[in-house]
Amino acid sequence: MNLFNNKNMRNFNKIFAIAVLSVITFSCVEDDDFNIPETAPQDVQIEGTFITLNALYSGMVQDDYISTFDSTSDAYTVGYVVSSDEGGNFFEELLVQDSPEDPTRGARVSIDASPLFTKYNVGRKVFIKLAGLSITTNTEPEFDNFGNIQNGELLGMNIGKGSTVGRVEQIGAFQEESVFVRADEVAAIIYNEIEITDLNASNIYTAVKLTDVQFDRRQLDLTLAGEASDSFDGDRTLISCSSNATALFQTSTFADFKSLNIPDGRGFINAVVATDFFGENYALSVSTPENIVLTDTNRCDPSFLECTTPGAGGSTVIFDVDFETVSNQSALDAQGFINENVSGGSERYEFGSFSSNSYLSINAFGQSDDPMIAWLVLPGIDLDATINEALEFAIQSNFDQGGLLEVFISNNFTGDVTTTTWSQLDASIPAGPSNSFASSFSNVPAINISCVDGTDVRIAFKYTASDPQGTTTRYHIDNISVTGN
Amino acid sequence: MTNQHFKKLFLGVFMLVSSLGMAQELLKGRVIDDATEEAIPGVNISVMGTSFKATTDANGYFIVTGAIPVGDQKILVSFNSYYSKTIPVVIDLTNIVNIDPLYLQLDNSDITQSQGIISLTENELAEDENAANNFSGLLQSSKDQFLRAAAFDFSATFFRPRGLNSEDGKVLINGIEMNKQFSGRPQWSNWGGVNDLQRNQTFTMGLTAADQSFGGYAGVQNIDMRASQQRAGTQISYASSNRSYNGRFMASHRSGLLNNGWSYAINASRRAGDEGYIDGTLYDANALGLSVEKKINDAHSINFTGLYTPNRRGRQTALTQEIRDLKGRKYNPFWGLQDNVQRNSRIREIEEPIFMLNHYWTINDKVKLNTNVGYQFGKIGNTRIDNGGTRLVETDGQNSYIGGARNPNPDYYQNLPSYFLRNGQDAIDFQYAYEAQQAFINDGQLNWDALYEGNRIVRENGGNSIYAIQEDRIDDKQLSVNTILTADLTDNILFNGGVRYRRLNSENYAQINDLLGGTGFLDVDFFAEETSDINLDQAAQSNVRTPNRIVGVGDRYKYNYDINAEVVAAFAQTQFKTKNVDFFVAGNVSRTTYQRDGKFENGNYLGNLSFGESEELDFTDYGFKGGVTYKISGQKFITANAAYITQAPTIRNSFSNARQSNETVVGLESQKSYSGDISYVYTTPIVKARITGYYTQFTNGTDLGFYFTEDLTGLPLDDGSAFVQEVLTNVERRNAGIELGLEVQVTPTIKLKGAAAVGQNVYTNNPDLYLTSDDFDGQLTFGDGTTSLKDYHVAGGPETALQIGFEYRDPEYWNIGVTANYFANGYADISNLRRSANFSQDFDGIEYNDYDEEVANELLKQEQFENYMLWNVIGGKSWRIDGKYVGFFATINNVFDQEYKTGGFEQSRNSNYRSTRDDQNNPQEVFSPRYFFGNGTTYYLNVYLRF
Repeated sequence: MNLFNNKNMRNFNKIFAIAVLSVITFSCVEDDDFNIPETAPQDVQIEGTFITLNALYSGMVQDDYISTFDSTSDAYTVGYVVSSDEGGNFFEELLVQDSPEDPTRGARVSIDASPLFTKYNVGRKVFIKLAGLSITTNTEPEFDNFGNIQNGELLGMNIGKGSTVGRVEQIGAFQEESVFVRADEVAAIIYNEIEITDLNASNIYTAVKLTDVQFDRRQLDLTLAGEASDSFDGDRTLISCSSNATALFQTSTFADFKSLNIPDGRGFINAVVATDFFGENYALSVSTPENIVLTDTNRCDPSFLECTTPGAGGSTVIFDVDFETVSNQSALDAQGFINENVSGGSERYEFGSFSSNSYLSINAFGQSDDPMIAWLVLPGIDLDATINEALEFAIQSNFDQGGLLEVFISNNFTGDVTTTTWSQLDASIPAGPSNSFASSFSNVPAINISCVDGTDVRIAFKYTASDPQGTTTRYHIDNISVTGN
Repeated sequence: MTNQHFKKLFLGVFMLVSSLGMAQELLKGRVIDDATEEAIPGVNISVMGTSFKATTDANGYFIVTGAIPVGDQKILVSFNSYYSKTIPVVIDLTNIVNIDPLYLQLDNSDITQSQGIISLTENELAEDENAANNFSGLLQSSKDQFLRAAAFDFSATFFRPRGLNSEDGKVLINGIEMNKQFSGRPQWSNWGGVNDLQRNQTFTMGLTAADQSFGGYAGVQNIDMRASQQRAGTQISYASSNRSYNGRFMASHRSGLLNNGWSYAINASRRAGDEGYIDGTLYDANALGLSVEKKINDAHSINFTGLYTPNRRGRQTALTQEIRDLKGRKYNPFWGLQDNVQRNSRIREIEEPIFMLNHYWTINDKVKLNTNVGYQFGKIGNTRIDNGGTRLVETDGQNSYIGGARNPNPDYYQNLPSYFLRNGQDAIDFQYAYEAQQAFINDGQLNWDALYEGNRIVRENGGNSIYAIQEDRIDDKQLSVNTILTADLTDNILFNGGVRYRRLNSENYAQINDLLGGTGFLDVDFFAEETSDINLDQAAQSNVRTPNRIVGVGDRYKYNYDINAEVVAAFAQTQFKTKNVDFFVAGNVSRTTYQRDGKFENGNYLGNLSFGESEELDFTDYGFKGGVTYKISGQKFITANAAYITQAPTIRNSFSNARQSNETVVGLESQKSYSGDISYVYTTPIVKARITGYYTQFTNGTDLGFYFTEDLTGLPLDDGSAFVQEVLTNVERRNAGIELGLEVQVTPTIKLKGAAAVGQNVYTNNPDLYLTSDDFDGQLTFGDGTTSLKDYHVAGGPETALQIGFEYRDPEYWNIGVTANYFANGYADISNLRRSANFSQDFDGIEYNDYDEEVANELLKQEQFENYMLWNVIGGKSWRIDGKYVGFFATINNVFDQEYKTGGFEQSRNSNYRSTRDDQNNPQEVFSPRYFFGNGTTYYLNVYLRF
């Protein structure tokens, strides 16, 4: 083709050359090929007056539980980050402790900023400039008659704004950079091994390792915080295999891992310590679920009587009580019940009624026995004449703070609950709401007792709880029956 | 009809009959550019007051065939960008009138304006909600004074003539329809920057007869890029502006028809700028256009046209009044500094080359057949920040997804002062609000370093990116084939007909564009929620076939599906011309099919709910239109048109949740519409005027929306929020109004002009509304399933636009013009959800106990924008040196820097009475409407050299 072999070709060349040149030389638009910027903190120094977290805490106590730093103050403190909002379980707060290992004090800094983990990662050393900030407790302290902090009150240190004791306000979102200065250092946090029973107020807002623990077997069919009844937090119970002590394990309903089914094994948990809303109980939380390492399938639950013969109950009623006619202690005595406190106190099973229904109630609230132990032993029953026997009863668990209601059986009752050899029954005592009455009784699934024989078989309820420890679940018991064929 | 007229008509008919088969040639000539002395192809010649007309060929020759009435006649010679000429001639049957040469003078102001308008369509690279609807690009080639006002002066406010959208008009290049099947809208940027090859444009207004296509209510713009039709010459130009790009360099060369039958035309340009009028809106566009044509013989020509116009544009967004007041109308939250360079997180990139072959066959001097094959492929990409990066943590055999971060955009509502005063106004709230205000004023831009630092920290601990740049892609491959027959059945009857076929394969997916320093991104939906049927692990999966995939740069994630579409259509049109009455009828029939083909099996929609082929949607549509022009005299005529059209829904409105599922819109139908208009036109050499009344009724319309909302009725009390797809069907609306255009040539150099549009675009029923979401099952409806939109205005530009202006055109080749433009009756787009029963009902479907009808009416009142006036100035000068032209022209728009809102919309996040009322009672509404602001004073300067 001879398209380009004339004068037009020359024009074309000219134009084309100009066009190409123009495209090359024309102002480039600078927005492509960005390099990864250097964003890590480097050689960070800070000037001013250094105050340790411990000193800050003592100062706060001296200042009647609130210290306020002037906006011109050059004071700062230093902490190592132990919480992370990566999993959504912490939100707009940063928990720091004074040392990566063996900390002596922790603090909670409240700031209206999210996310924080993208800057203040776990182990990061952070300078906290205190100008304009307030230091106060997590909850308003209550004092006894001698002016001392009430026994059992758990006070931790909060850093933020505001002027009310026990109520910290958030540091404003846009003050973040004037309060926090990240150091270069990112330390490995060594989780401090501790027994539940050894938790003390100085552990608050620090990282701890709870060894040989498991979740309460009654909660194993729950998620961490994904139940309809969970609001703000899912409260679950951790049990120490070595001491049987329990602790509150809290997960936010906004946590990314709230829907995980509770791990049913036994092992350790790397947690941070805080308190519940009222400052009455320790509350343990994890930043991410990797910190829950319950991989040992060999749980430390009590051993239960396991009958292998069929035992689903039957048409023969062997024992039945609904506390409508047997409605006072003397009637109980007349029926052959034994109702006693074996821990030195006076509190035992009491009669209660609600909405025309009577029941037995047990509660350690307000008692000083630590722990309080109370037994209710049913009258002796004859299981020789029947087969397929099963025990049924109904429970209402109220103000569920962990506590313990266990059910035992014996065909060799000595007359003294403490000297009798009991076999524990696998009773699924329902969990209840932590801060209110449950809405109704739950029927406990029938317990097979068909392998127990004897003419004076005793069934007993054992309640173990403690007001000083805060495990004061209030149980209501009703409609106890044993049937067979 | 007078006796004389009758005689003429009789004579005309007699001669017409007698001349059948033997074309009479009474008038011919050749049109030449008065400066370059080169022939001008494509010039329209018409005998005024008759239907006789012709067009010049590649060498500028024309012949008007047929029995032109003998005696004194006037012929009108007109062509784009030239001054039109009226020449008196005397026709007699024996002596052929031969006007050779007939000089035409270039009208540089025309180039001026068309370039001005192109800079506006170039703006639409950004495709912001408002701009995409604008069809001023269609109008630029019109000679009609009203439409010119609409194109050049009203377009900055997104004024929509007759309330129509760009999808109501058709853009053709060389006879091939360019409107996208996805939205029905033309993608202007696919042919931006090759302006010099697009001088030959014809615009057919409204419902009038178009030669190449059945068209739509907003008319047909046909861009003829045939090489042989390009006026020979070379042009170099440089433009400077502060609107969208800062500079444009363009060069073109057009050969004209060479002796060997070849012709070619090439145009290259680059447009670039770091930011336009709005901050951070970078512009980076190259364009190359090429047409080559070979005239094989008198009967056959083959043309190739190729367009490659890759472009990138930094996007902007609508602002709330609060943001505007703190940062000004130029504020753009999408950019931030990185390495001291502005980086915009939302880049729109379009690269869709077009290739076409066109065959022009002159079967005989009465019948022509034009056959075209076009192929277009490439990509449209839109980037954004994905802040939902997580890592997989396995606990006790169960998966959870840990991570995700808050929306990092600086204008996120939780960063604004209003957020801190929403729940009370204690001293500390004011302090927080003040701090937020100061931070926003002093910075208020995206913090790229914070995103990189977040990713760096998680990377060091083995985590995936928290933040990444996501690009939403549409990769189309489209084949178009059509053929158009034009036949002069008799001298008075013109037939046009055509068939067309289009096949589209459209791949839609998201991909990772930049990991922002990270090593990978976990492809799960951070916002997924488990339902009673689906656990979180499954709900979070974009593709259960490859769960928990870690994706890198270039990998597809989130969603991935194809849309396959086919359209087969045919149209036929016959135009009849008589001395006093012209009329035409046209019909159209089409079949459209769509099918989604899911490539990912979404965790919320297992099996063929999302994977594989969807139901095939199938629409058969037809349309009829007709029009009549009654010529009262050579100067006055009345024209009226009417149409009934059904139109398949666009792809966008057919699949309710295309990213996740195969679901199609329930109750989906073709839109049906009917329309009529009537005009009175008065044309003398001094005065040109047109007044038109129009009426268009649409029914069975469909509209989809997507947003996050709270407190939905029918969902649980504590879980009433969801990211929803809103499906509006059975939409009826009406556009009615009057438009007026007036030009008065006061002296040969001074022209006064005026234009006016007064209309009303309103909903005429209460359409059906339902919501879908992966957060709940099925369709959520409210009350009787409708939403009370009746009598609300359909938003989109002012409904009232008025112009007066003048032009001075000096014989010494300079000109200046000024227009004053007044706009009123602009409305904000309303939240459809708020007008449904959801507004008045609590979560359980019972009316709020504190519901107050009067307060509700006030809350639901549609916002009307303030009226405003914009002044525009245009001017230019050209010099002729040795047969070359050098010239410049400049426009200054919005001379007095008037601030105005071009559009806006209510946010649907507050969906009910209480939340809306409480928010409006706050010191500053948190989820207040967002607005688009028009440009302040801008300029456009172009310098050119032609030879």
